[in-house]
Amino acid sequence: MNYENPQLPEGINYSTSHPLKELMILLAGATVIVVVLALAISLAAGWLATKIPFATEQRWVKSFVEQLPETEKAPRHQAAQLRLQAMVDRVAQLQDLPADMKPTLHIINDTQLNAFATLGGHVFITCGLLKKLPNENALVAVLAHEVAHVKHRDPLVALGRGVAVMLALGTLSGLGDGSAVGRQLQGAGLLTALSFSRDQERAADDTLLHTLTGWYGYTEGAADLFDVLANESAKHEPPVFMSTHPATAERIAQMQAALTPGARVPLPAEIVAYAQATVDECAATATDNNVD
Amino acid sequence: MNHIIDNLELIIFLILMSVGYTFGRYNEKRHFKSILEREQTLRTLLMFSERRPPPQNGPVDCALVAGSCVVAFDYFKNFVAGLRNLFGGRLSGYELLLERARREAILRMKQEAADLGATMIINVKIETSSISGEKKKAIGAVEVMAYGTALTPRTS
Repeated sequence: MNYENPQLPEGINYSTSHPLKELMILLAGATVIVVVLALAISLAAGWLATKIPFATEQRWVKSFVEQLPETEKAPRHQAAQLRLQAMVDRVAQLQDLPADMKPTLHIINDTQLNAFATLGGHVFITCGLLKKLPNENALVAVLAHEVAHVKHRDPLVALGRGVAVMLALGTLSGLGDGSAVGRQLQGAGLLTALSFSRDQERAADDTLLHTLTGWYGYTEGAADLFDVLANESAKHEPPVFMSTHPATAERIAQMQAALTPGARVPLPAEIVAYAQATVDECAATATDNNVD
Repeated sequence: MNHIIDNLELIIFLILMSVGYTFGRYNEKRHFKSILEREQTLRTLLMFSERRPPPQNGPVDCALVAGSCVVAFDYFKNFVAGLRNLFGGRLSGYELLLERARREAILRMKQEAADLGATMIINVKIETSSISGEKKKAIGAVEVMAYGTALTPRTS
């Protein structure tokens, strides 16, 4: 018997493929899985969220709303608040909101241009936006758009989607070992909780147009808000409203298509006066701060 | 600046990945070169898993020889392996690492035998154990140990 140790060829027990190539292929595969999974979970969670009763939603945000700074007792503010709340109530009536779903309006002392709807039917509008609105039609359009979000349960659906996606991605990233990557993925999930989808915006705009027709009998002035925003973004940094409401051109087109002519109604005097005074005060404090 | 702080974790991750990759690749290349060289010099020392010495052998002295090698996984390999867990398949990063560890352990064993003046090692066995054990967050390292019986021809 002959005993020998032959020279074995290299590469029997390992592959010589480049490690970076393997990383790229695996990352691409993982990305596809994550995207598909996130989409599926997001749709399912959004659908489930609408099954939550509105009363439950209100109970969740109750403690948060109680913490809101008791907006000024100034009679000027009270008057504007009451007037806007009355408009919101009429919008809600025109949109056939269920009896238990009552939107509440809050005015924020801020020079930024923004309006948004959140959980529990709470609708916020800034003084800055109130001041820039050219007529009552545009104000009703803004309120109708936000109340439509409440009607469609959009804040809840967005939150449900965001939280579900965040949890799913968090669990998934536990499979890999890089916790930094996991945090990034969770951040991506959280991001989806903060914005409404394009479909949600389109549906809210549809309802807005119906509301304007119900209020005035025509939709003239529905797109005036966008002119204001376009002017502002041309002047300086884009208003916050733009970043939370994407695809503006498409929405303007939708409104132009549904335009029925009519007269623009001026804004109620107390709201104009209130917004003017408050924005001036804000500007004054801002200048003071700059001096410091 | 805020942008950097917000993405600090991602940046740290990318740095660890590139450090793991660069040093891992460099060490691997250098180690393989050294393994191939030393394997050539120790080629004449034969090694078998057979338990008994060849019958034509004359009288020999027997001695236990052993060589062990511990290797650690780098960040890059760990990350790729984590992704690989999703899909299944060859963990080629680990395969390469263990191949290095096995051959290094054998070389150390052979070196010990060569120092004794042996011409052959029989009953060679290789054992592998994970140092981190089953714990998840422990250091990822593997020990490979090769041992056998070195046969040194009796000169008297």
